Amino acid sequence: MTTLPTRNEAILAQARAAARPAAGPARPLAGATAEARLAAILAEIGEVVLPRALTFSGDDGSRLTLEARARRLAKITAAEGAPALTGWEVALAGAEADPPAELAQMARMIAAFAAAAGAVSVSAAPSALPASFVRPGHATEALAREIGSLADGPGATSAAAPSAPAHPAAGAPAGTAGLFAALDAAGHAAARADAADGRVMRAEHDAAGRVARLAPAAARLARTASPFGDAALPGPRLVFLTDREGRLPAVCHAPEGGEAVTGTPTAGALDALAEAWRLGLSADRAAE
Amino acid sequence: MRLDAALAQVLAAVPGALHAGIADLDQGLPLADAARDPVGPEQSEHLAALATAYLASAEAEALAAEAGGAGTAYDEAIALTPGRVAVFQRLPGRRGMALCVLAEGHGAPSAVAAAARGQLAALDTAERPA
Repeated sequence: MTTLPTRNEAILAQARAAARPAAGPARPLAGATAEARLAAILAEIGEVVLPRALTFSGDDGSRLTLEARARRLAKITAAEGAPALTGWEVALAGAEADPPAELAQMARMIAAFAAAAGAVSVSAAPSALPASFVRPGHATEALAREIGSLADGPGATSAAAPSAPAHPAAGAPAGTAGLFAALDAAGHAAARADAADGRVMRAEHDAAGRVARLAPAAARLARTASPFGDAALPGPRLVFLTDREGRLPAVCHAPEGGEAVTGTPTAGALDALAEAWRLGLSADRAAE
Repeated sequence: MRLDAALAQVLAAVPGALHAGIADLDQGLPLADAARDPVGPEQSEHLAALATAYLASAEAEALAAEAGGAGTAYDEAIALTPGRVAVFQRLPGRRGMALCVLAEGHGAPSAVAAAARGQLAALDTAERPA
């Protein structure tokens, strides 16, 4: 005798099979700008009712795979290419128990992908998630709101997109904002990142992703040095590391107020960058 | 030249220098120091620990490896606060030791670093107390 749950399972299986997309090449996604790509990605998610894995591929080799269902984003399962996506697995795992934090992290990732990807295509496949995955996910409207509230909009996490003139993000400490602006204006690779783990929020002149890779290591070093630095050099600190033989790129790192800026300037830029950082700090103090 | 004389020379040569010391990067401890306005043993220890953190800690090695590959290392760190500059430089001939210089706020930290760098050769060959 067929039980009700068994029948429901059979009906669901039938529906999933019917909803499975036809095999074929990926479809191009409309959108010449980051904003347009973002809207198109959210629209794709919003059209998914039954569980589906969507893979968005950029012409720069970047890729974002996510699971959508009931017009909601359930999970991001793969990301690669854009420097701002570096460390995404750790960042998402850390936010898993906190839906607002997960929403914010997913929004940042989608914005970073849209900003960096160029022309995008999308392909759909049956969901790869187990039936036991029952988390509700996030509505596209909530994602759109979250992306809109990101400090600098969809281009904020772009590393590969053309550089816009730097400007301090709303709420960013002025010292680090001044340093970031000075690095950017001089054409040095620079990243704004979370001071705790070095997760990059925005990068400029970093097409190779080097600063995005260095930022987490710089954050760990700053954390190690912090107790001694607080005692010997109290107050905000900006650190330059150089190799006199020139085998390594110079690295600068300045944490402040939960955010950090990491850059790879030329050694000769030290004085100008120090000045920009100090002026920013002065502006912060004047504002206080 | 004796080490204390070489350190006194660093104080004279580096603009705004308040303190000059040698740190053992293996132990994270100060070996010798000279100060214009004595900063006390604690400050000296903190500077030595900071030199070790920036130049010889596992995290410093990890950063250098990320930047240039395994076996590479940064040999100079310049730490700025709004009012002060600290410079940490490995001695070229004694890689396990570093010069630590603390100077008053300076518009050109590169000048502080360059002046300190100019003293490394003398420190390398300075006679250490028994």
